[in-house]
Amino acid sequence: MTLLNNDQENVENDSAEEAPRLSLRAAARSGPEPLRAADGLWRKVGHLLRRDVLGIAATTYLVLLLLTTVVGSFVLADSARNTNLHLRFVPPLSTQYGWEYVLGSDALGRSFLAQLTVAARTTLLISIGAVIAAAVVGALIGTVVGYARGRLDKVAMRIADVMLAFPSLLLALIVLYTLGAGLGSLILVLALARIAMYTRVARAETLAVRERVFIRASRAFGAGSLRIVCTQILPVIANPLVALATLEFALVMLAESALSFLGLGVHEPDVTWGGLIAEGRNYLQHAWWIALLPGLAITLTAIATNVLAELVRKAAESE
Amino acid sequence: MSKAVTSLITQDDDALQVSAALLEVRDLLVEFHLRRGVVTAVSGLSYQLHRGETLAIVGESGSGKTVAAQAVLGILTTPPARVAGGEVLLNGQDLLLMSESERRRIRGEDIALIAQNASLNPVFSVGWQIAEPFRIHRGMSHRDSLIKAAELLDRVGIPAARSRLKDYPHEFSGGMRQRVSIAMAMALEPDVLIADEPTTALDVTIQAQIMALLQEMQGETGMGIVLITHDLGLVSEWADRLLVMYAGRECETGTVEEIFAQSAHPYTRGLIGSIPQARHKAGRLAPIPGSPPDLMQPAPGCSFAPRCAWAIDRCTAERPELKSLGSGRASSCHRTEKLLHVGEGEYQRHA
Ligand SMILES: Nc1ncnc2c1ncn2[C@@H]1O[C@H](COP(=O)(O)OP(=O)(O)OP(=O)(O)O)[C@@H](O)[C@H]1O
Ligand code: SF4
Ligand SMILES: [Mg+2]
Repeated sequence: MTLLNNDQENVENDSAEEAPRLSLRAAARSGPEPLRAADGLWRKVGHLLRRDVLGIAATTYLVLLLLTTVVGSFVLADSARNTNLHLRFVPPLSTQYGWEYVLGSDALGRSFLAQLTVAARTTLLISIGAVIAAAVVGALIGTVVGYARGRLDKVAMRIADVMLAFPSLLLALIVLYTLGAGLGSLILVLALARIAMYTRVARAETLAVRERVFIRASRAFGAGSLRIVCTQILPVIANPLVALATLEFALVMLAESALSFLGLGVHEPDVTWGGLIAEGRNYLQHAWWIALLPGLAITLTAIATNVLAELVRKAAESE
Repeated sequence: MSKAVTSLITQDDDALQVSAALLEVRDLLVEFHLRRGVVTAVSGLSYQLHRGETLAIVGESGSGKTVAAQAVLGILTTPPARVAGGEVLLNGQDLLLMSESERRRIRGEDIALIAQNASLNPVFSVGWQIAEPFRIHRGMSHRDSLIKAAELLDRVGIPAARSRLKDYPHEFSGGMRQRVSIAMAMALEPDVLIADEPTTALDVTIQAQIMALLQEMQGETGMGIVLITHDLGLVSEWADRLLVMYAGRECETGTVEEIFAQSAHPYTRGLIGSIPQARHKAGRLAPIPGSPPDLMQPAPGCSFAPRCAWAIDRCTAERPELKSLGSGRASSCHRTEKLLHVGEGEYQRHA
């Protein structure tokens, strides 16, 4: 879910790549497969899922959403663009005009299913991008200042307090006004507003880890601070950060929708769910689905990720 | 462990001693600056370690053994810790005067630590961790360092070493993990190895195996070992010289034979008296009645006085200086001379 996690994976994948060449790892060796921090987390999540109907539903929804988005943005790219003025405001839940119109059409007669799918891609891209960017930068800063302590730590934490207290909408207006709206600046704004959260969590976790014996031992081998932060501390504190990132996803997505709704989002031809709602607001009287369906998508996705986030948090804490 | 070294120490030629020392610690002073006040965890510790020699540092919990070791390596967390004085000469170079980056080059390369308790990161495979020193100091590639790691694991006696590289610390037994720690510490064949309670929490058989492994490594490389322990049984069997610490200070130092034959300090005598009859059976130290003093407000006089059966009025008024008794032996007690003329049995009666 986050780059942090991927960092960890890379380190391990490295060894997975190298080791077989020199090691004759006996396939028959008994005992459990070695746990990686990250893959251990997801395994635990899987374990928790088994007894959780809501969790299964949420996960299923999210998997389906991802699949439709990925597949649909290829298959439906054309239909999302093709206008057909004869087919304006086709109501949903009828296959009279072909399966593409199962969710109706918009004011220009475009397949609304295609619109939703393409908007989903942009929405997810922005949200995931912002979450990853905030998590990576925030976690790095938090870990570094937590490890270094001293004045750097104090200054960083004051800044984090200010950033969290600063109204995000104002921040968004300032940045979007200076940089202009667009995919990149939207990701930047959403990431900027949430970096401080990761900084706080990463710092708190680092404070707990830095006194552990293996960190001392690592220093006793001549490892430098950067090395210790990246290779010893970050992987150990990855789980709570992954849990936080999962929780943050819904928040970021809602913020993105709000910005798009206010017309501060991406430009045409890109569109997000929030943008669709804004558009649908004009036709609320006779074409309710244009505002309702993206609203439903946002709500369901937010709920599903929150349910998943709760599971991830439980798994991360169960160590 | 080596006769040659012992005879070297017993020579009266001071200059020779100095030049031969791998590690020399002089008047080490370590403080913790806490909100409540200043804790002096180590005050005025001095010792020398020679090639091929094992120096045991013994003392009750909280006497400052670990702090002293970490100060020598320069890995205390500052603040709150502060090395407020002293010298740490490794091969004649003062580590305390070096920059952090210079010291980093020396750690792991010339001087290594086997840390008290688990020193392995739980989220990395053992192979990856053992290979760390090679990557840090030798700039080796991941693959080459793993080959080295396999060799090391093999050397410390882990069966099927190669196939275990990818295992995680929790998949090893306590004894195995300690072997892995030793492998890591020995990776670059340091001149000095500080082993902080390397066998605590292991059963007696495994203890002996680990100590034998350390001795074997010492035989191969000629390194000096500082063996930090609670266990005098271990000391009598594996160490050449002994340094007894109490409340951050040095009580007594000398060869293991001398001190076990006739200790010149009541605290040491108490420790020796508390070992079970068969000396090599592990015995936790404790049976000296009373508890260690508050390091934040040290009372004047001898810090052991409240618990000492030999205490006289002078003891609570005046702090005993460390007095040399010749041939590398020293003791800090006002009644050293008396003690040296009293045998074990008589001491028991006295106490
Ligand atoms: N981080 C710290 N903050 C404050 N005081 C500390 C800290 N670490 C150690 N000390 C002080 O230093 C003293 C010596 O601790 P140290 O860990 O060196 O003891 P030790 O001899 O290694 O004991 P043990 O046998 O239990 O390992 C302690 O009594 C404690 O008062
Ligand atoms: S100086 Fe006095 S109190 Fe201290 S150990 Fe010697 S006899 Fe005991
Ligand atoms: Mg200790």
